[in-house]
Amino acid sequence: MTLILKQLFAFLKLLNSDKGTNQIAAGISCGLILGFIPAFSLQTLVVFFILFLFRIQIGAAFLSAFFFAIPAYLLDSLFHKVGAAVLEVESLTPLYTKLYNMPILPFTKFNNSIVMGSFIVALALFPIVFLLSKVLVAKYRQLVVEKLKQTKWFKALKATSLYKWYYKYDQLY
Amino acid sequence: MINSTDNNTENELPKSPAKPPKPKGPIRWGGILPAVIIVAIIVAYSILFFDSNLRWGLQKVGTKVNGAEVNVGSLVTSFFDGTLRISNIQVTQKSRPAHNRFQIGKVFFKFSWDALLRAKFVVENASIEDIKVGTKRKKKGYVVPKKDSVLKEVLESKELKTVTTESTGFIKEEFGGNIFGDAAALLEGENVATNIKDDLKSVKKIKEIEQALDDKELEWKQKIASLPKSEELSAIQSRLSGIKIKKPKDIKKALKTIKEVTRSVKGKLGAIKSIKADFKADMGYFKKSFQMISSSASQDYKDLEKRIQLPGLDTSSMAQKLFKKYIMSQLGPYQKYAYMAQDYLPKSSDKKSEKSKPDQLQKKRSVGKNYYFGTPKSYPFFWLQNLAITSKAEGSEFGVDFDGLAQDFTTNPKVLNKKAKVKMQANYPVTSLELVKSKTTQLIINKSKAHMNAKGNIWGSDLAITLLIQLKEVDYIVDAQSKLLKEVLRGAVNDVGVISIDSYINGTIFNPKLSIKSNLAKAIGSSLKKQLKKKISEAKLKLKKQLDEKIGGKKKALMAKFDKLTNSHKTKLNNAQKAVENIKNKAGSKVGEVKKQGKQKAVAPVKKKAKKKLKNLLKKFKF
Repeated sequence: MTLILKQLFAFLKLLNSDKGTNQIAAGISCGLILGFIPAFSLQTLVVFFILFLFRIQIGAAFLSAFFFAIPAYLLDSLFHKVGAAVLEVESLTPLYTKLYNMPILPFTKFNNSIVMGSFIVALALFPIVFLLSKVLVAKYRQLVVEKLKQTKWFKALKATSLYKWYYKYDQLY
Repeated sequence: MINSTDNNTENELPKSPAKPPKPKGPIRWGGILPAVIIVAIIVAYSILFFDSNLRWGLQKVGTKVNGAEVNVGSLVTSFFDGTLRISNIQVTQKSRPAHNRFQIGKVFFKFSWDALLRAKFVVENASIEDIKVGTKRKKKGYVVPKKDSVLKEVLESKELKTVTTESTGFIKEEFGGNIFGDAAALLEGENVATNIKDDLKSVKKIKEIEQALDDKELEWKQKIASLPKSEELSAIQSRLSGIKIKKPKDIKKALKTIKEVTRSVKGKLGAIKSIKADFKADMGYFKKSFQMISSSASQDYKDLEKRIQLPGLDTSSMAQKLFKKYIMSQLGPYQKYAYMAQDYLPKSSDKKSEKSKPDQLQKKRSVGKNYYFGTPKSYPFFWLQNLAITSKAEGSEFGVDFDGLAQDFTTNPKVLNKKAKVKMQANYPVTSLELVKSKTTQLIINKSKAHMNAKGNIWGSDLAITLLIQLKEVDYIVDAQSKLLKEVLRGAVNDVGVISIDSYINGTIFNPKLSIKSNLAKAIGSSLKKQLKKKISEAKLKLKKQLDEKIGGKKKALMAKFDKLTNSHKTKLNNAQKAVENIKNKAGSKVGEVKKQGKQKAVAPVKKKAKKKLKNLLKKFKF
């Protein structure tokens, strides 16, 4: 829990900074995959591995996974339809049969209509969400953070010794 | 806020060393160490705690499912070998918590890594060894309160209740009564036919005829009353007698009177004949009805005869009734587990479901639909290739001699295209096996040694199992109210040294059909047949006599009443007809008489006159 909270604070810090836009956008996009895929499967593990291996904002990923899981629940019927349509393509049956009987790959649960459907929808939305996140983060910094910094109460807060102590602590650790 | 561009704030803050931040690459190198630590923790957990946690989990789940404490002595898994070894499993008997339902010495499972990598569970080899039944526990086992039992939900489910009710209903229906009930009554010399009641068809027929006869009697009385009275006939007769011809002119009047009388008499005669014809028809109807009494009586006899035909004399049916309860009670407890597992069991062989397209395993909508893309050589989701079950009693009181082999149990037999096979041999003690237990008769196997040999195959939930059981060194309890039945049963069990029960089970796990043959049933059957044949023929004779007595008296009375009525009415009708015919004849002869008289009265004076005139004429001509 502490680790998750730490990641969430780091996300907020990074969001309000002027760098790491790509990291945040990638995190939100990975969160989209995590939130959409219903069950714990191999692709979830792969996404986690990517999150840990690459410099992607983990807090953003967790937060977006949480928020994307809500529409995912409502979109289950759509995922099922997409997944079933893809899995019932007769020309792809030999490929699926091969994948189904290969080692490791069955752990992806690709033969489940909802898993397949949600994964396809998540992959399709991944670049859109990535680009949209980048734009929104930039807009947020420009329109919200900058204006906030100009407010009197924020300036007053920065002048307090408590803020100075925090600033020192943040620089040291 | 840490990277604030606010210059004022920056001026106020203490200056940090002016080191340019090192550019960070896309790979999180710092994350490798935590990842390694996490993997190390997982490995350490697997080595140090996984087995004990799995053992704890098995105990918990087993206890919930069994409804009483389940203990697992030790559990060892090997990741590299894909093996699971469990020893000393003790399953507490819910009804006797101080005892185990059964105890298993060793369990071994070897999973195929090739299948595990494909998310399939294939047990290449499995063995269960050293089974003991009814052993005493060191400590009393914990019994799960009913409300907490996971079985409660299942047991209370509508479907299982239906299954259970049906099966217990079947048992009650088949075994509730004493299969020797009628036989015992007959052997004891009781009159089976004493149950003859007034609901007999022949009795009903007699009553019907009686009622019809009463109705007819009234009708006949009315008709007889309408017959010409003797005064009326006397008047007619005196009218005829009163006809006298004095003068020729009376002839015409007399003839007119006779004509009127004849017409009237003819009318009366016609009415009498019509009544007679009706009477004849009614008599015919009643005679036919009396014949129907006889045929109803013979039908009644046949119906009553059926009551004394013993179903138990059919030896296969007797074997079914003697041993079905025992075999069903052996299968019964496993039905509930099969019911619990039915979602995971493959469906019964249904040719319609055989299709070349990928199978769709229908699940709840929120879980989606799983598509199966297996090939004929691929692994099914679960496949138990070989399971050997061995156990040696070695003189132990609780030990079981068991040698069994189960092969190719799978969740998808279509992939394997193989039927699951079962083969087993067992030697075990049998105590208090109630073959027949009723108020009047007891046939109980007090103690015996059983040798069981089973062989069969299973396809989905469909069974086809041959089960041969031999009971040796049998100690019986035989008792019956009927002395003769007791002797019969004693004789039969003495003749049968080793009881053999040959049964064949087919149908489904949830609804098995059983056919049983047994030499004990055959011996009892033939012994009973011999004794009962005599008794049955005696009973049949008695029955016939009783029936004849019951119906015969009533029939005789009815016939007498009918005869009396018919005779009386017949005489009256005949007399009336005779009287009227007599008058008619008289009227006929009266016509001749009148004509003759008329002739005499009319011709004689003319003749006299003519003679006189002729005489005068001769005189005139002087002859």
